[in-house]
Amino acid sequence: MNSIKIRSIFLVANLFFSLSMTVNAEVGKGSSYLDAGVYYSDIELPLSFEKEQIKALESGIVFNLELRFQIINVRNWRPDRSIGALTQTYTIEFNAFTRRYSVTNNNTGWQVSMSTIKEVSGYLSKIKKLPLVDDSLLSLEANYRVFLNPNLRARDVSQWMKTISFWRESLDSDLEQIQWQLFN
Amino acid sequence: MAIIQLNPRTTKKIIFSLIFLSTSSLLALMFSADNPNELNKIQFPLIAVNIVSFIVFLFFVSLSAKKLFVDYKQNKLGAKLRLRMALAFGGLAIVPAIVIFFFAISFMNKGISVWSDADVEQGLNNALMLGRSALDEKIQQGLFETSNIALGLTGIEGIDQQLQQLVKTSNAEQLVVLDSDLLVLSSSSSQINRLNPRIPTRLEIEQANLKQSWTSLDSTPNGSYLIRVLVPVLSFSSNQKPLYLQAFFSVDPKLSMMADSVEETYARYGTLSFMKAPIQYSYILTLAIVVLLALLLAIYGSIEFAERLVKPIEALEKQTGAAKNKIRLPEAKNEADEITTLVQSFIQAQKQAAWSDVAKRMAHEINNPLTPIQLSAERIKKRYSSVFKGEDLDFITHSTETIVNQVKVLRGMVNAFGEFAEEPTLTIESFNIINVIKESVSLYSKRDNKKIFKLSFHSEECVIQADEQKLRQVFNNLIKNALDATVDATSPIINIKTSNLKINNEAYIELTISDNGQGFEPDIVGNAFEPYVTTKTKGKGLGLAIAKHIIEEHMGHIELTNKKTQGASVIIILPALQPKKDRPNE
Repeated sequence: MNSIKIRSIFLVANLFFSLSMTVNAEVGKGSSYLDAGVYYSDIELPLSFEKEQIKALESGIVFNLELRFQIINVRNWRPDRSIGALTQTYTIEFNAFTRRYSVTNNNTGWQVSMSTIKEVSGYLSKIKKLPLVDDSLLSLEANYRVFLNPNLRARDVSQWMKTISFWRESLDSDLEQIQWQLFN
Repeated sequence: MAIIQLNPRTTKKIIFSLIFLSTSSLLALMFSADNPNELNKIQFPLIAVNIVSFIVFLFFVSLSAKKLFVDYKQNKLGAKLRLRMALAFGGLAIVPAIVIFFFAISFMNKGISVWSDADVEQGLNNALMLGRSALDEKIQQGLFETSNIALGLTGIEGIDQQLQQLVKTSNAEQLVVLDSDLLVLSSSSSQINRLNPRIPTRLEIEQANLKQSWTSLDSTPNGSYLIRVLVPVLSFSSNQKPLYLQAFFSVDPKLSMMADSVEETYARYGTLSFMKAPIQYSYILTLAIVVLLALLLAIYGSIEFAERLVKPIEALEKQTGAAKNKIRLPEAKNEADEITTLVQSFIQAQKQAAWSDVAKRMAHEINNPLTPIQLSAERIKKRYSSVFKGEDLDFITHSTETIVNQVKVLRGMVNAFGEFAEEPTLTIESFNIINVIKESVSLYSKRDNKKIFKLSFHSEECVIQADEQKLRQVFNNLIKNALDATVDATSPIINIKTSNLKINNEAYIELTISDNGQGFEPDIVGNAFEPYVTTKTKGKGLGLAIAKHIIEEHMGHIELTNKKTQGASVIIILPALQPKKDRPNE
């Protein structure tokens, strides 16, 4: 009887421990600040590439990291109101000739190249000074909250092909939603 | 068993729409299959269309198959032949389709495996290596030149002028001086589109520190390549921070183009290799759906085709009278198929028709002279009874009476022939058949009390729909036959038994009349119901034929057998309810 109790306690503790680890591992954060009439954001994403995704990248499959921002006016006793939405997309590809990964910001056209996937993860995990919204569009009394839904998708691979590859790790991954107050 | 019935026209419309839809989507798949990426995009909706078609087809085929199976189980007319034909046609389609499917998969797998051929991969790797080694020399030149430029830099003051001058005199397209915090202190470019300097990463700075240089080959969005060299500036620093010089060198456009082409091919090959298994499964699935659709179509077609093919045979069978003997007893199920039954019933019908024709003619030909013969005999008797006396008068009287009596016998025979030849018209009414049997039994019990009738009725009240008079005629005939058969028996017994029957969920009544008489002679049993077959010296041989005629008109069944011990049995099966319309034409 005692051993069953000990086992149960151990199992529950283990479950809580693993849950807390999972939450910590996947958590991201963001913050916004005003600079010259524009709100910019610094974001930390819990981005990491899975084995199958790295294999796919090195095989020539191009990936898109999509950051979907939504600024919402959170109101008491009334439905929340969306102020605006913004999508920032990065393309990640591997060049077999140069043996380097290149990351292109599709919104600005800015491209960087890196020699390892770790560098790519590191580069995309810390996004600095991303312009979000013009100050003139906002009201100081309102309570704005930024919601970021990041996802990583294999480009040019149809949903059908992804579905039929059910036996292996998914090429697509949805990251945890991140949210923060626009005004500090 | 309830079966969903669909309007055949609607079914046909749906089937043709599905065939059209599936064929169109498969053609689209076929034409797009040259480009796997294009195929990927359209495959999902097209396969979805085919899967939907497959499910709908499966539904229709299941309905048809179920109907066929139920018909077969219920031993319906033509069902056995339909099932056999459907299985034969379906089998003819299924076997080659499966063989083709496996061959197609095998060939397709062989074709796809060429994509990831080891030799092709090695060749592409070699091409990449070759391209890179061609650029290695250029990279070394760039490194040498950048190191020299870094050594030549005199200080942070006037760095802009220095870089502008160096860009003009060196092979570098762009020169950038930056500190360890990646802050660009100065940059100069020979090309207007490279004014915005590409910043190295921290790792690259670390590598440049560690190895005293960092080189890389970068691709640009327009497909060209750039050599990038990063070296530390050792001669001076800015605010105590180490400085770095980054130089970009362009690659010969021709070489760039070739390198890009090799890289593109390698990437395409890599993508195909990576997606080989899903593409393979996708093709197999598509092929499987095509084959399954074709098979379902073949099965559906075979069932429909068999039904159409059997329909005229069924109609012929019905016309020849097989349908009259509609009750198929379970033990008779495997004995003969519809064709055998058709042939037998055709022969039977021909015989019946021939006998009817003979009977009609005989009745007509014999009946015509009978009246004048009888009248003449009566006239002779009348005229000469006053002329002759004594022995002559006796002779005349006896002879004319013989003529008149024989004419009566002949007339009875003619009436029997006529009755046999004409189609009995039934007057259907509801009555208790047990009473009719009892009346027939009592009629003959009075005549011959020695005979022992043993009656066993399942119920005293059994109302059926039939022609009472015709059935009474049948029962009288059969009881009389039983009595005649037991004339020589020491202790004659005639058993009359009734019971309820359910055949194909329809109610029937079974009547068995059995005796312990001499039984039928073996050569008579098989054709005892045929006209003019009799063992009686005085019989016309029409009684059983007429009885059979009447029972079949009631959609019933009659059969006779010799008992194992002694005597014979006649079994009659009659439906409890008569359909309003003619059953065979249902």
